[in-house]
Amino acid sequence: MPSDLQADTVGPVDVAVIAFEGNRFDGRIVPALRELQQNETVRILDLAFVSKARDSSVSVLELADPGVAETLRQVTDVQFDLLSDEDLRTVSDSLGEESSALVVAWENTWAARLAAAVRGSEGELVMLERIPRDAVVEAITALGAT
Amino acid sequence: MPQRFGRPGLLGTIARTAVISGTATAVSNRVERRGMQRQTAAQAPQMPAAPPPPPPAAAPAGTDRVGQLTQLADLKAQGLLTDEEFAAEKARILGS
Repeated sequence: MPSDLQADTVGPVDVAVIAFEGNRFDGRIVPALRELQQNETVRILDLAFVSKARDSSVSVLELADPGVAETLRQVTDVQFDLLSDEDLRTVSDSLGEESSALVVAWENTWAARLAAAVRGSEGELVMLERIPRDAVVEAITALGAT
Repeated sequence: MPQRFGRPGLLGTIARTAVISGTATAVSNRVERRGMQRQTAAQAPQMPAAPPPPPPAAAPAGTDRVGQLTQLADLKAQGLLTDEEFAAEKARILGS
């Protein structure tokens, strides 16, 4: 296991699947990911680009593959192989023909920093929950209604 | 090259379902959008309207009542009902 990724200190990990029309990676999302990585909001742990051709054949592009290496390397040049072949198959199975998806696993470094601050203040984090989008929209809409 | 074969992976069963349904929704939205664009562009003749979906099966009375009470509580929480209105409606639902 790489020495700078430790199971006992890693923060919460998210996996994002970002679907695109067409099966070529155009890299437009790269600057945003790079910024998140650089300002240490997240730490990209693993990423792969899965695409499905018109004949339903699937290909997986990795960080090191020529063609995407140049763009993806701008996001990170360190990669841990946390996503399994099974994970990528799940994504490719769900893709339609001539579409593609970038699969990204990241550590929420901001949350690890929060956790450290919580420990430092002798507090205890008792809940941290991603609120469904609908609930947020409803709550915000209700602000205007009163 | 990454070694992915035989790894435990990160997507558990729940996440797998989310991936599949999320991608399916994204795709069907796109298809819908494209369909609409095409129709507008070509001024296609109006397709006969699809029959409306069958009404959902009536929920059993108990569940329905719980649903109504939950909705009522939501309205109250949103400040859309006064205490009196809330009490009256609640009595009506429970009494029905």
